[in-house]
Amino acid sequence: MKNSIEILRSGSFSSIQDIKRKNSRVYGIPRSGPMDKRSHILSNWLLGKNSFEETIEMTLIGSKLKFHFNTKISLCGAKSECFLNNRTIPMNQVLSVEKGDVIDIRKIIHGNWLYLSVSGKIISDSYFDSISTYEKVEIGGNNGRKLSNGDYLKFKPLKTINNREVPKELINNFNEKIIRVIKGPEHKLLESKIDYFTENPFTVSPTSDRMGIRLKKVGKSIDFDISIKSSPVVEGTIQVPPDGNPIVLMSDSQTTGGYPRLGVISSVDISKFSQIKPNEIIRFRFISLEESIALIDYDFKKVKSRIGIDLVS
Amino acid sequence: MRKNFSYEYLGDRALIISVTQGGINNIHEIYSILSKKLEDLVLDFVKTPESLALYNDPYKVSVKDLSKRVKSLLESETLGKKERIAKTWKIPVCYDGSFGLDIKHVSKKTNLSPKEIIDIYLKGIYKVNMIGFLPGFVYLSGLDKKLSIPRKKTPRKEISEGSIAIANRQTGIYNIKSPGGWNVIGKTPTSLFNKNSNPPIRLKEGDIVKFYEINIQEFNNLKNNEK
Repeated sequence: MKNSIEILRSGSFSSIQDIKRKNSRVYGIPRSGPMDKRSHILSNWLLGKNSFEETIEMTLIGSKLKFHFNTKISLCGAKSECFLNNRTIPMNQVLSVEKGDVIDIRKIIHGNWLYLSVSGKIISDSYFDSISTYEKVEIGGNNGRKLSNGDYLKFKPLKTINNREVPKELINNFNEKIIRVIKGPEHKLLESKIDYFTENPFTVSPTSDRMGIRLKKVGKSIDFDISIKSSPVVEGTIQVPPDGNPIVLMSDSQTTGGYPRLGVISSVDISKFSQIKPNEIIRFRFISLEESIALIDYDFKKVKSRIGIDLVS
Repeated sequence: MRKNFSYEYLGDRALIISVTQGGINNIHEIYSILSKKLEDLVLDFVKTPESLALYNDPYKVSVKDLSKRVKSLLESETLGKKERIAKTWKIPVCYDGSFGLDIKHVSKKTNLSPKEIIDIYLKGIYKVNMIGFLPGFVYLSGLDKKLSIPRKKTPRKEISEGSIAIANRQTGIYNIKSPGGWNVIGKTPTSLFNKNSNPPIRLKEGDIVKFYEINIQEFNNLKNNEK
């Protein structure tokens, strides 16, 4: 098929994601979008695409894709074993792909989420302005489904630009495991046991998905039998269910929840947090809303001065 | 109407406006004002019976700046101008054994026979309390306290679409297939959530819902008509 990519191997969970969905949460429909927005944005920037545009997100074992047109691609995010016709290819730069070439993302090594951007626009019906795939109601790209063997993605090619490379200081080093958190609405209800959240670390549980990342207490967990009226939640919200093992809501987050909201991860740390692998240790550090806003401002200016784009989230 | 709002932040990504008076009518009204006037700044809204959440892109506008805008907009508005008339929806339910997965459990917990449970349930007049959690999930308040039992300890991995379930003083409609911990007592063939219509769900918060019983043949006929 002309201007298309054929999915030779789907991989663990590869889906189309953009940062465009708007006004859907009022009906209980999540906003979706990439887990690591920063890497998504960088892979688009490499090809001169707008930050909001779609990429293909992959995790664990990536996809094997056959290109039926000449184009350029970029790969950003989790460090992965990437091959072009069985030759290793680098990440964080622009790569030329020719008709008949096969890109194979075999294994994701450091981090969880890899982003493949293509110099083209995926032809797909949008839903609430977006083609982010959300399988529960089958909306977004690829008919609302994750990629499957034998699927074809059709593209409208875009103009390619001169080669770019992501500046080193903008690439995630996967070493930072301290996550900055702003106190949540039910922080006070949990205050008497706040040491539980700040003194001892948690590990990331392997049962996490795009809806939420489950954490497991290192050492003995304690019970929190607190329930609240169903209240709004957002990605980054740290919920505390009765067993004391927090759940951090992510891109496919539900719109409301009944567990106390300990805090919300600062928007400057969500992408980094999404890349922390199962069984790795993380710690929380509380910061004020003002600090978080200042960090966002700094982040925005840094990226603007280095690569000239406006960050979005 | 007096303006009694309180504000809180959900990290740097959302502002929650709570109303102390006026309930859902007030929420609908401030939603209709803010969703027009702040179209460029707000990504999403979520309504609960007492609050309205506004979601921002923190790289575009901070929650603090958003809250200043909201406060000044709400200051200059007169609220309570129009009361939304609540619609009444009549929804068919089939209590056939194959649908009422938890009716025996409810019967045991409440000491009521399945027939008594159904009779009490059908007499109820329910109010749409909230839409959300998952796409199209409808929370209804007004469940008779005789039927009030807790959520199941271990949630089901999958509850089929159309399932009608109860937990505590609420009843809910699972409009899409999803995991869930409520006690399933019946099923409706009417799909209230249609992703292709605008809006995708026809019920609104504050609307009234009454249920009527249908048998399995009627269920199947209605289900076929839906297709």
